[in-house]
Amino acid sequence: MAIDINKITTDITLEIDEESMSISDYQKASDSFLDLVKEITKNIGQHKASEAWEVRVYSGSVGVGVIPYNGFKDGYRVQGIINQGLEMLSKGLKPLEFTDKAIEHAKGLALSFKSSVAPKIRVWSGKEKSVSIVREIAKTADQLLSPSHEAESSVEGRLETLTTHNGSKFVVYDVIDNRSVSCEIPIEYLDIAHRNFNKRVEVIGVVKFRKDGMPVSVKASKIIPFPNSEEIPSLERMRWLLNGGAIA
Amino acid sequence: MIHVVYWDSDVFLRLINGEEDRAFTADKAQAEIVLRGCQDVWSACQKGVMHIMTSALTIAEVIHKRSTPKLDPKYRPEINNFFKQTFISIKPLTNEIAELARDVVWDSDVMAKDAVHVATCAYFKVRELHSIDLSKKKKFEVNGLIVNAVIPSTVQKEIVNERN
Repeated sequence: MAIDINKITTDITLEIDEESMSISDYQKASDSFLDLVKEITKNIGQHKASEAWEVRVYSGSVGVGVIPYNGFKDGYRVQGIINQGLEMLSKGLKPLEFTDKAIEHAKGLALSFKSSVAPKIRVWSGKEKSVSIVREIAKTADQLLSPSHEAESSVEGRLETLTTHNGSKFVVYDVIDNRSVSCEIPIEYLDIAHRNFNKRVEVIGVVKFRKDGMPVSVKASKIIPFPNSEEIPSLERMRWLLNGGAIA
Repeated sequence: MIHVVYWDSDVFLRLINGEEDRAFTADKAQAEIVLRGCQDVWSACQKGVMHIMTSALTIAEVIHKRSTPKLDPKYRPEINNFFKQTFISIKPLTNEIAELARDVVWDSDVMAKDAVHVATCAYFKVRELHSIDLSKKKKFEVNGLIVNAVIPSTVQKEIVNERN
């Protein structure tokens, strides 16, 4: 059952035009939609995404929409980014203002309602514009997020999520943007990984990169821990060291 | 997201050389502005509001202060640690970046080592490149991304990082 456009009162709206749906399909579609709104909101500024929007559910559960809340002023901007981003993904292009997580959420939306040939869902910007959520969005997301080539290289970040389930692995999170890179390690490196848990490390090995050059995973051959703060020379000390204070 | 800037090795050298670098510069007022900019960015990084990205090449380029004697080798590990500040990210010089740097040399007529900095900056989608030498060139277009080469400053708000 399609949404009545004249009854749209929310700024960004997910329309679900399916006759019947499983709980998990409905939940996946609405979660992906709300997570996408939250991710874009978080990425454009200092807003606490969960407090920027109020959710409205349309009669008959044909739609879920959001309207700005708590004086949130960038609703129009978020609306535009989402509309344009979904449009670009459906054409096989990377939206500049979509983070990896936003692309994942868009993919989740496109993979909703697996029983249908294509999900009959759309995302509305006000009452004016809508983007149909086509399977192409998931295909583009996969192309953008999957590794495309590998090389000997290194990654650095905070070592977290250490596991020995199905092989020894940990995840490093980039200190700038929290991007995760999974690292496969030989069992003998478990101890060094454990000792450096929650600390910054450099991981050297065969790195798999995405098409856009971002690292996805590493088959590690070396882990180099970062020094503790007291081992890092200050600027003044560096000046002294390089100013002949430490000559041979 | 934190404001990320890319630093050319000449910016690290200016910061480390400090006041003494002015003696070697014809335009003393400009040298003062540059040094203050370097110090402001460094201070903003220490406060956690900015982050510096640079190439592994910088480690090889920041060797000693101008006109000083050779460093005692026992201090080398300490100097390595300087680049492992919480607010500095060192990016590797991979084949892909080297190839991109070669394109920059061909397209923009800069030296290979400068091109490595431009290419690394573009590769990681940081659009604000702090550099003293390259700021004379101002803009580089690499793989469709415009990299703005400017002297260090904390106030280049109009440049938005695209790193995603």
